Amino acid sequence: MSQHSPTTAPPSTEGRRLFDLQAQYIADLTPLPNLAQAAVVRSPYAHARIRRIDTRAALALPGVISVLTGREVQEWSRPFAVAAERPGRYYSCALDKARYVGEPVAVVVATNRYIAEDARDAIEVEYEPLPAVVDVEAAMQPSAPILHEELETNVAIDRQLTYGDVAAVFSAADIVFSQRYVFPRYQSFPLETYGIIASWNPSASQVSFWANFHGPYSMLAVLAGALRVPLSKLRVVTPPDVGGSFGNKIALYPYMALMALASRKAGRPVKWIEDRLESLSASSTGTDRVTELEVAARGDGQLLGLKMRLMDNVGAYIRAPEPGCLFRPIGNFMNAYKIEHLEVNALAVMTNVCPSGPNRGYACQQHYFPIERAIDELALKLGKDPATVRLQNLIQPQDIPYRTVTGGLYDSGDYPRATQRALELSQYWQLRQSTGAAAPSDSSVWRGVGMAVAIDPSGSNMGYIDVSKKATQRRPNLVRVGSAQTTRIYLDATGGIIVELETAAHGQGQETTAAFIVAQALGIAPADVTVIAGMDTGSRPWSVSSGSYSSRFGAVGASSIVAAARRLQENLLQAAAYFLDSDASRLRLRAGRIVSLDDAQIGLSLKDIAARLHWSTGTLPPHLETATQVAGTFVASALDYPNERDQVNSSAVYAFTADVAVVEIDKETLDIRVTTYVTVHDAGNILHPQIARGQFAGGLLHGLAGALYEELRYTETGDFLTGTLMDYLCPTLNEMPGSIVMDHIVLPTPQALTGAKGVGESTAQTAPIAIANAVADAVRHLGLEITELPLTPDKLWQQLGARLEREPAGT
Amino acid sequence: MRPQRRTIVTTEVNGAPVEALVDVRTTLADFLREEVGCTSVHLGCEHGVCGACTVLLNGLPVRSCLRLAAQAAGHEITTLEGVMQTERGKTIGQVFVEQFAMQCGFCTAGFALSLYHLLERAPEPVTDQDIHETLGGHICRCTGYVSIVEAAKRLRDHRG
Amino acid sequence: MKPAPFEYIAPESIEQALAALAQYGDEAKILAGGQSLMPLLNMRLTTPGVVVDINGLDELNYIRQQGERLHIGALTRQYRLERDARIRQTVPVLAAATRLIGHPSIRYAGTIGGSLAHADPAAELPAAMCALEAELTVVGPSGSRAIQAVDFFQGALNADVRPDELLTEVRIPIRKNAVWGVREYTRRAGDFALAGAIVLAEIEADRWANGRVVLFGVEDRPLRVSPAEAALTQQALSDGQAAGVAAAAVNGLACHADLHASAEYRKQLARVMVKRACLDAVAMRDGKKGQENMTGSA
Ligand SMILES: Cc1cc2nc3c(=O)[nH]c(=O)nc-3n(C[C@H](O)[C@H](O)[C@H](O)COP(=O)(O)OP(=O)(O)OC[C@H]3O[C@@H](n4cnc5c(N)ncnc54)[C@H](O)[C@@H]3O)c2cc1C
Ligand code: FES
Ligand code: FES
Repeated sequence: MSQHSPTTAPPSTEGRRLFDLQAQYIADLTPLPNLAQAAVVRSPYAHARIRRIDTRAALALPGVISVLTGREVQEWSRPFAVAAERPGRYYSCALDKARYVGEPVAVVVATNRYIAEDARDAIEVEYEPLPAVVDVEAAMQPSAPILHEELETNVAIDRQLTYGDVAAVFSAADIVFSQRYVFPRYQSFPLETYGIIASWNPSASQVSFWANFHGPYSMLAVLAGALRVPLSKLRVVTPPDVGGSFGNKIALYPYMALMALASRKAGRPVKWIEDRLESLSASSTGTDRVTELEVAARGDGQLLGLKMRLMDNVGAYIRAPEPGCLFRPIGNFMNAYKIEHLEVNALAVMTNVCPSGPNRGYACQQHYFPIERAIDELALKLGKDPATVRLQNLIQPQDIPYRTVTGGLYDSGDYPRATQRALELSQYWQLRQSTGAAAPSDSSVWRGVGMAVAIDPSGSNMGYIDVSKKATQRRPNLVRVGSAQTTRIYLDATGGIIVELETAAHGQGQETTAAFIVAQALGIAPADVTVIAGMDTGSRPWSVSSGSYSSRFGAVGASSIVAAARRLQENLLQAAAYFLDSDASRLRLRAGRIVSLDDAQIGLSLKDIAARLHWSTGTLPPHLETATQVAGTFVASALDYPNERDQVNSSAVYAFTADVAVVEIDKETLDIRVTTYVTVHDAGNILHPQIARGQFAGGLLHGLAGALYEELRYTETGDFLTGTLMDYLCPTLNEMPGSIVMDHIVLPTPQALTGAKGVGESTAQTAPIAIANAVADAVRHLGLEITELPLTPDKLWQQLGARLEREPAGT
Repeated sequence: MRPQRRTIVTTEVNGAPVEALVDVRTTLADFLREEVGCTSVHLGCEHGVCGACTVLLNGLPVRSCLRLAAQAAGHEITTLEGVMQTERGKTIGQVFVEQFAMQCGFCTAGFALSLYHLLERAPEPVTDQDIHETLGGHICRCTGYVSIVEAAKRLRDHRG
Repeated sequence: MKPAPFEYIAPESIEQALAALAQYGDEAKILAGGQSLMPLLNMRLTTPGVVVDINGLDELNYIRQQGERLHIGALTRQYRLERDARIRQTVPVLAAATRLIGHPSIRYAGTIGGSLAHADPAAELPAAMCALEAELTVVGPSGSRAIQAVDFFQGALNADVRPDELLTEVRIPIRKNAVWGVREYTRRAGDFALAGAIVLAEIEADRWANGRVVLFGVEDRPLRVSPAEAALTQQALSDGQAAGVAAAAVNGLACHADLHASAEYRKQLARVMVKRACLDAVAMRDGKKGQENMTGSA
């Protein structure tokens, strides 16, 4: 695989469309006549029995068409399927009981949204409040209120996984320590909220959706099952422009079900645009997790084994793709370290908060936080530098490809080199002389430096989900192996190239990248390649793997573009050989022309070939009859299914990130600022430099948000506290690090035709940890331990306040 | 003078006269999107924090979710649709597209309009601090702001 | 997230406005810049029967000097307070405090009167009015009343203006040789302050006179703290004494707690903001900081 990292690349096609005023987001669409608008009645209680719903006043309002309640939802649909031992019965709407603040209780349909909201407020729901539980550990207690009575427990999954000989390494270790870590609940927060247009067609028992849903399309099978319609009767159109997701919009499908039923009830197509208050309280959030971690190491810093108890708070219902947060990183459970012994107790627990789901860096944020924090602690206990301990334990380039003890196949990379590069760029070793206790005491700030490394997995088939079941309980007839993606390319009659993706992008610049890849392959200008954006399952072939998720495009999606472009190239050579009466092996495609190697005068332009292939079909030999249409499929074949020892290669390729953060903490206000952030990626080949850079920077913002600013908070009794953007603090430009350095090294993966690995989640996984480690470095000499996020000045004050009051000048 | 539930709004949007009968509670943002067809106006929060709905009211950037359509009477409103008819608007578009100052694009019109207003301030110099203050009133979840600031500085430096 | 139904009236004069308020009383809500009212309407946290839009009252949009006082009409937009040459000359602290409100596009729309009538305990302008010893004019069916700023703010979102009254003007005494500092702490630039302080005094022959120390964002209204003011005025302030003024300012203070700051942490912030505002004032006296450079954040 050759190295590839272009220095110039085409400008943004998607951006061009936006400034040409041609953008189409879901809220902009009216694809059907007679569209009515929906508003959702939601539970104000965390846990309450629904005694009675009186819709009379609402239905009496002019403009109100219908009200859907749990009664019809129960009659017309089934609970959503999910991979859990003890799933609760999860419908798109509460039936007799609401289990979190914001859970849908009814849907009003009216001629416009204003009236729909009037009617929403006119619906009377009689609730009987019940005791609620929001804390994951509290919910596991025998005395805890039970959300789903029929299960008699709130624990949906409790799996014990063992790899290697943990008991042996723990007894042989020189040092063993344990710590409890808390990763918070925060949100992807796409700027565009959910949007759905649903149309139930009763006679065809068919349902059509326009929605900003981006896959994985396997969720459509879950949706069809819940709606009791064949998958083929479900049409889903995704508009060309989707305003971000970062995992959030995967959980759109329960609302798609709800709106389909609302349309069924109303007897007309229904449009629903979620508002921000609904999005914060009741769309989807990252999973909050408590981890109990035990580390065994040798006295020289060599890591030997880990024991982890993962307690995931999945919210009121365990909803697919959960329990992905427990199992998605299974192949990379040990991060980039050579550790061969691991014991995991994986628990998914239901509580009275919004159901959880993917959030940029799905599961890796939660998983690496305790490990990377503990490595800093280990280093400290041994009197070593955290960077030294990391370098000592990293998997070495000569070990790659490396099979992890949990089944992952690390395909390519040079982790020490990328790490060294981050240390160099941040001047880490110099910084160490002036941070923490070594900082000048007359300074007005405490200073700290911290680092984090992360294996960045991308491309999956969600086969790992079945680790939620014991090997004996898995379905032997359905093993998920590999994951495919297809791209279609058409050559039009004038030599124009049309590329059709099935990836439903939402801000990743895939149109720009796809045109660039095809243009490079055919030697033409990117502007001559037209990429059809968006997705329509009604007119385009698709598979369960279609969609954009788990940073899949670079390795899997783009590889299918390469495959298709190669196929078209081959067809063009064959066609030219036929038209020129020449041997295809003596022809080459150069700058949009097929030329003969033997005689530079002989050749055909793309335009000529296209014209003949389209117009002279009667003269073509059979092998050229469909030469203008190609489909390229790429299968990420390294993905396998969990074996009886619970090992699985859970991702197609594995990138690597090494970051260093420098923070300053004001000694008086305890304000925490990231002054410098360095992030170095090994993402394999870079398909488009500016897009890759944009993903790194966006990932940094996302991680910074989780480290310092954003948390979805509830009271102990489940009241929701962060319902507006005045309380849920998405960082602005002014909270970004003062200096940001982004760099990459290029080690292509042999697992993808592009040689590219993931860039989408990247820094979102490392930034929370690097920042936490930097803060820990800054305040350790004051006796503070950092074991949970987000780090806020108020939280630091809880630990430092008494001391600062004693020594007000700050020390 | 009596309070009304509906009113005729006579205003000017992107240089063209607009007249429409609206429910008085209609926000300016909804009016521009639904009645006038300015779909570049995006709703990210509807409570004034995100800046996605920014429009120019008599040349000044304001949140259109925090204003009633009824209040538009007698004012000039400019959205991205209008700004793109100007040279400066086209330059902003060009530079944003080249710099990849957008990913999903949902926040972009808001940033572009605030920036347009800032650049219109010529010949007063535009400092880095001005740029931070102006763009700081907008939320973008995708870009980490890096490319937007780069675009803003490029535009500032090449301001005619 | 759309407003509940209401009726709308846009009076063209103060008289018409008062007539509308008189007629609809408790049912009516004045709409000025809308930067506080509109979010509440959109979220249906307030559902007035009638919205009285006063944006047509051009007569309330002015900044004038009258003798030793500056008169500012209630409908004057916040951005004008930060830019207006007269304000920057005569009461620069007001310009500096205004710059800390939200973001530029909030200040293009928001009005001084709206901010004062809204009486958010963390808002800058109410605190600035208390520090400047402004007098507020409120007109109602029975004529006009003048209220001292400190008396106007009666609690969180509770100002001394009745439903049938209109806040029309603020009058700010202009005092010479003022030195001052405005500081606030926010988690994100542009947010409401977790705590803030305004310190203001006049230099009279090397002495600090008429010291004022106002805290905001800490209790349910802006707070003038007399012990701190006394400490400020006692002697020519030096760096070391700033901490003393700050300690006096927060002594016995019972701050409120919320999602972002516990009471104790908020108190610490208040103390630090007073100290830093004092130091700014000292620097200003010593000519180390020009008034133009006072940005005031944290
Ligand atoms: C994102 C964002 C950030 C913000 N940040 C800050 C901040 O940091 N600091 C800050 O102080 N403010 C902040 N604000 C609020 C802003 O300053 C408002 O402009 C101000 O609080 C209200 O002024 P307004 O003219 O917009 O009034 P409106 O919103 O129109 O009215 C506010 C209230 O005052 C009443 N009212 C208005 N005018 C009068 C009058 N003349 N007589 C009697 N009653 C009247 C109204 O009936 C209403 O109850 C922010 C707002 C937003 C959206
Ligand atoms: S939609 Fe108006 S500011 Fe967010
Ligand atoms: S580009 Fe997506 S929010 Fe800014």
